[in-house]
Amino acid sequence: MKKNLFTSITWLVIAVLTITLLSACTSRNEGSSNSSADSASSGTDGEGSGTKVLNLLYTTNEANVEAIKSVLPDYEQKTGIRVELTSAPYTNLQQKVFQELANKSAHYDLMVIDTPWMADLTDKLLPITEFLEDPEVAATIELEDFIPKVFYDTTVYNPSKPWLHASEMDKVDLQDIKSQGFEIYGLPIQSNVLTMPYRKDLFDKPENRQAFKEQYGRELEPPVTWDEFLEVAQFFTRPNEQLWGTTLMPGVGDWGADDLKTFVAAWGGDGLLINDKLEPTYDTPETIEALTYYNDLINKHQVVPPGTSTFSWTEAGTAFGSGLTAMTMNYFTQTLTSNVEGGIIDYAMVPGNIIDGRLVQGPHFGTWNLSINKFSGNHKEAFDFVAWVTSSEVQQKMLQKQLHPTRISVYEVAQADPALTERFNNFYKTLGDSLAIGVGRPRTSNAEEIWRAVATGLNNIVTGKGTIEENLASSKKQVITLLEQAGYKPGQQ
Amino acid sequence: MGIRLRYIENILAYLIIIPLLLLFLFPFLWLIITSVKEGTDAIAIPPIWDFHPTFNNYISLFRSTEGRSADFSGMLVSSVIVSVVTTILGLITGTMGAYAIARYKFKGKDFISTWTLSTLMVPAAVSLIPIFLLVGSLNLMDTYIALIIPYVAFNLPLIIWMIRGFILDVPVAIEEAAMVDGCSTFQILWKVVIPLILPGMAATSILALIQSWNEFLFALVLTRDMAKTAPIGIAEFITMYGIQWGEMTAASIVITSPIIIFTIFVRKYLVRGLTFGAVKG
Amino acid sequence: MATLSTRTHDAPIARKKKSKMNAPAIILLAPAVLLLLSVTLYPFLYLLYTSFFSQNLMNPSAKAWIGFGNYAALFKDADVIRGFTNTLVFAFGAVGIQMILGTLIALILDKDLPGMKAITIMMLIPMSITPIVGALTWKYLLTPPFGWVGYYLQKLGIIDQPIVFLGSGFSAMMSMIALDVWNWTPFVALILLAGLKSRPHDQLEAASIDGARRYQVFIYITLPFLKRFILIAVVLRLIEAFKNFTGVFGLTNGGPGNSTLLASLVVYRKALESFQIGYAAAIAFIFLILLSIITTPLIGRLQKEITND
Repeated sequence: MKKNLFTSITWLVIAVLTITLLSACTSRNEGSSNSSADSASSGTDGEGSGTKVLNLLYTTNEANVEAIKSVLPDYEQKTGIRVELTSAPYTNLQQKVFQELANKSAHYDLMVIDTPWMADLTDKLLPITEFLEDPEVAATIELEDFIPKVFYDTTVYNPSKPWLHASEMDKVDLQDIKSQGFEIYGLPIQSNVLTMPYRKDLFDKPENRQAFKEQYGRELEPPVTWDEFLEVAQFFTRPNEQLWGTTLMPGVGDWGADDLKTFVAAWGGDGLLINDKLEPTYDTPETIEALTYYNDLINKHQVVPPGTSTFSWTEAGTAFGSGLTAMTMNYFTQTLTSNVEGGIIDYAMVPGNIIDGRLVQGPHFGTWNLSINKFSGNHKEAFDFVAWVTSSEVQQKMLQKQLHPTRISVYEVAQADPALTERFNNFYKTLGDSLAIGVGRPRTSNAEEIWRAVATGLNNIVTGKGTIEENLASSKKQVITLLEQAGYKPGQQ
Repeated sequence: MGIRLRYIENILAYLIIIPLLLLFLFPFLWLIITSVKEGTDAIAIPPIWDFHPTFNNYISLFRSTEGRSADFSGMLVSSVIVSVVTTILGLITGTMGAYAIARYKFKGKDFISTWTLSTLMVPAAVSLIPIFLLVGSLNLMDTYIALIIPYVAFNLPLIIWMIRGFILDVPVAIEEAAMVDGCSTFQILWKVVIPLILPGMAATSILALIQSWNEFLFALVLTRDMAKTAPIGIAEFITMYGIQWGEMTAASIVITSPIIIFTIFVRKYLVRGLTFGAVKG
Repeated sequence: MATLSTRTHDAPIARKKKSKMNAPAIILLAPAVLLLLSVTLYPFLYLLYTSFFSQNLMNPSAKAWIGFGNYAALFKDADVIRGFTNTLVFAFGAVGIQMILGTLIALILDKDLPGMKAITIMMLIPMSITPIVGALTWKYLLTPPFGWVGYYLQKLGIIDQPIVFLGSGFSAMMSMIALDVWNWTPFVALILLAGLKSRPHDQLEAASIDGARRYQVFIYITLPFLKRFILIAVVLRLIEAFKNFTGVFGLTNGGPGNSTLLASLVVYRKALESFQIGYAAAIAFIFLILLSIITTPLIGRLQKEITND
């Protein structure tokens, strides 16, 4: 009896394992047969003997890996060089990039780098300034086509003092960058910026328009200022219909600190939060005003869905996507679930404040930079690929896979493309306009922890753990400690 | 009086256990329901109950690779390889160690046997730091071996002590008879002891299999792509863009079902092993 | 069917020819011991050594001896202290509830009533669910506005305002404990049920003839008999709870603020997100010392219980 049970279990185990292995193996085989077919075809296309291979390390989720994958075969066809792409999710990618570079490994010729890591990497990535000066390259690269904000924030660094920002020009100016003592560490490939998706169907609904006009004496339009934003959010907040005005992302994580700096910038404060002397700059009256407004949205006016204090971009997207809010703020195109009947999404820029007669906005943005491993043996080949893949023509192709482009000309193409505007309405226009005025990050080592300290302060505020002033003071203190731990002496140049 | 009291008590027992059972099953039921909904209905509030069950999530889980770093079937293969090899190695080394502890008297035996058990307390997060650096410098990142060796070590304390319990149930007289027949130590272990403790070894192996199948932290840090195991795949359905609920829950069901089935089938042996021989099956 | 262990009479007769037996024992033990050393002694020595350095993964060349600097810093680091205290609260809270609830469930399942066998089998499901799946499922069930828990509690009129379970330090910690209780109470119940089932019937019968009351039977006969099983469950669960990483990583990731940080998560963040290897090593070392202070007596007790029969 006992023996029977045991035998049957053994058989069961074997059966289950075989099934999983078989089902899994089939799909794996398909994959490998595909890739071998690819390399076979490249072998015939590329002249000469063995195919040259460049290894590229990329991010899985945050920079539309499908977009870059879609153009790699073109490059192989054109040049005979195969680009082997490995992707890893965010934290893994960071660990891998840091470890590879710390070990001076030559394996990856190309790496995609997120802005917060740069401060630690300027001595390990290859400055491409010299390549860019080559007359042949200079003739075709069209650096001035890059959105200046994006270019200066992402890739222009001072090699010996990586925490400094270069002063920006209206157009990317290579000679000026060099004369300031800065270098260029790659070319930006994908920019993510905070935009404001909203429910166009709700804004266009005649009853809503009429009711809003009666109540506020103006047309119901996507808000441009934060005052308007509050009114619109209050107007749409109808908890018994399971509808709220907007989402926010004050959960602990990058998203929280990014929310904070966006609001601080719109109130005229320093959206970088830490200046180039490495001093925290955010315990100012502007910050207190901005955070009072932010906290009131959640706790006083309650124009956000319950649970907001735990939200990251994932939950914010889910809440908006399931029709719970009329507006949201996020870094990507949004989609609605099928139960949101007649839902249409359009995009507008994140509001600002009128200060001295001028609209002040500073949406947070961050860009993935395609950089070259200093220890790679294929510098020139790697540079050629970077130049090609970030070119206007190739970015236009990647647009079809939702790349967030970094060149002005690509935004012009996107806005003229009827297929894209039908799918995403004003997304690309909003994205391009927002990038032009976006605010990046401070350039410190230890960025992850510093950002978490800032986000923790914000989260404490909205969950009622201490006042705004107390939390700003304590988070500032913590940030200073972290900066010191990273080896800086805040206040000194 | 006794009968009526017993009656009330029995009613009370059901009144307590049934709500508790529902509570304990609720998250699992949610997983199953969500996995057979169309992606967009999955998170609708109020929850949608009149939906047409669909297996699209399961199908797409094993089909496309769009938007994912590695396909889920590839991760399942990694999970199977890592946990099966871990279990086999753990069983071999653990049974040998257990036999020594159960049957031999040697200098420092007390210390070694206590120590093997006490390694149970070393948190994965603590041993991870040096292992992460070691694996990196040996260029073993994203390989099966980088997971298997730590997993075997993590499972050894329980394997040794469970198997020790089963070995002690084998009468020494049999082994002594074999020794008289001229069998060597390894022959005794292989030909006499192991056949007698096979059911116990099966239960032990299930425990090791479950532990390595479920392990998260080491897999999170030491794998990237090729050796990535299924639990990491689950966490990766949560992206900046949102959560692919349908596929995530389908994947969850796929990776938990074998464990549930194993646990149900071997529960008696499992208990026997986990109580270190206090109960006999 | 199930009987009490009667191991004592064929207990290990340790081999007599001592000197001759040393060699095979060493060979048999060597692979296991070497493997265990690789994840215990090697990390232990490495951490101890590294904890005296300021070492960042990004700047291997800037490694500098700073003596007890890391230790001095960690005792002033609010997150580290919170990580340690939370770990204690979490482990004792979760395991305490698991033991009480597990005993109750085991006592009910032990009854000879129709359906109990089926219920026992279904009860095994939570402990079979991969921890990361459990944690993420709970996270979304608990998070308003889309979480089912809040929605149905509100629908049933139990609460009128949505509760943000993961939004306050206290309720987030309770949620973490609840997740662990859900995940592992079935494990405790399974072990205790095995204990109950192996109770010798003659003892119980003798007691009922004596006219002992039921609670007296429970306290004076059942509980002492269960001692070994309770000990096994407590020790195995406590150790696992102290080491918890997946649960906190998936459910709260330390939030809100830093209020649910556990020691494992602190070590992970310092080492693998900030790459401060030296500092992380110091924290990990202290964690290891604290754990061994707490768990060594427990493991000793457990070993005595296992071997003394």
